[in-house]
Amino acid sequence: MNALETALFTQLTTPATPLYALVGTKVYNPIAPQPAALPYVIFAFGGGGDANETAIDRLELVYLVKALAATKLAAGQIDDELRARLHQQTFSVTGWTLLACLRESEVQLDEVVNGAPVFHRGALYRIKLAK
Amino acid sequence: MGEYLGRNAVLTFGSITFGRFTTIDTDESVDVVDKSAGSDTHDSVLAGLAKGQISLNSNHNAGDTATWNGVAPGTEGTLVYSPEGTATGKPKYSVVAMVQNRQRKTGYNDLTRFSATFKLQADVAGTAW
Repeated sequence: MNALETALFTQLTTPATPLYALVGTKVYNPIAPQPAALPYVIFAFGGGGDANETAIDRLELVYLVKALAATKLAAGQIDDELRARLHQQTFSVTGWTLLACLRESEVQLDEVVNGAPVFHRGALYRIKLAK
Repeated sequence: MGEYLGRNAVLTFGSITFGRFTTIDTDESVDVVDKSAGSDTHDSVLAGLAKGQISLNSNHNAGDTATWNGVAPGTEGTLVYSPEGTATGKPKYSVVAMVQNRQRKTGYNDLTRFSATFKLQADVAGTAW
């Protein structure tokens, strides 16, 4: 959903925030350009859609938002700031009213890429929008 | 003609239109009085007083005090139920009713929803738009 993804990008790349100090504008949806220097953030659509329960449109969507970094500490610090920027926060979504942005399931993945460790830390966020 | 969905339904009570309803339930019945005689082989009844209610479940819109205040218990008004919408020829059911009950449910991080039950004060008049 373009309006929401634009809003998420704006929310995650707002200057003068602790998150911005860690990753700047290196926030990608859903795939980082390669090669991309660590650390960075990716967010990706995970599921959901229209509630279809009343005559007024309402959406409930899930997005994966996570940090990728060369150390667990760095990934965890970025993830803490992702939480601060998203969980229970309010931000503008063009054409919609944001009812809630809620952190739900935690996501962790550790892998080795080209001989170097990459640590993923993040979560699934449930986003509720209404007209 | 075939089945139809509730998406076109319109329910109004006085000046209020319930634009975010999720369900509308109607319930009409009549009291019955046993008139079975001693030699009958099956029981039988006489019609007594008719009665009924219409119940509504709805999401609650932020800042919408008019709807909530409009369904205060004891409020009486004309209820118009149009299950297929208000296009010409579609069925229209009107009745004077009184709000018997309202409930609002607030869940942390969940939609706030409300329900109201309207006690019918007369027979429902079925006409067409």
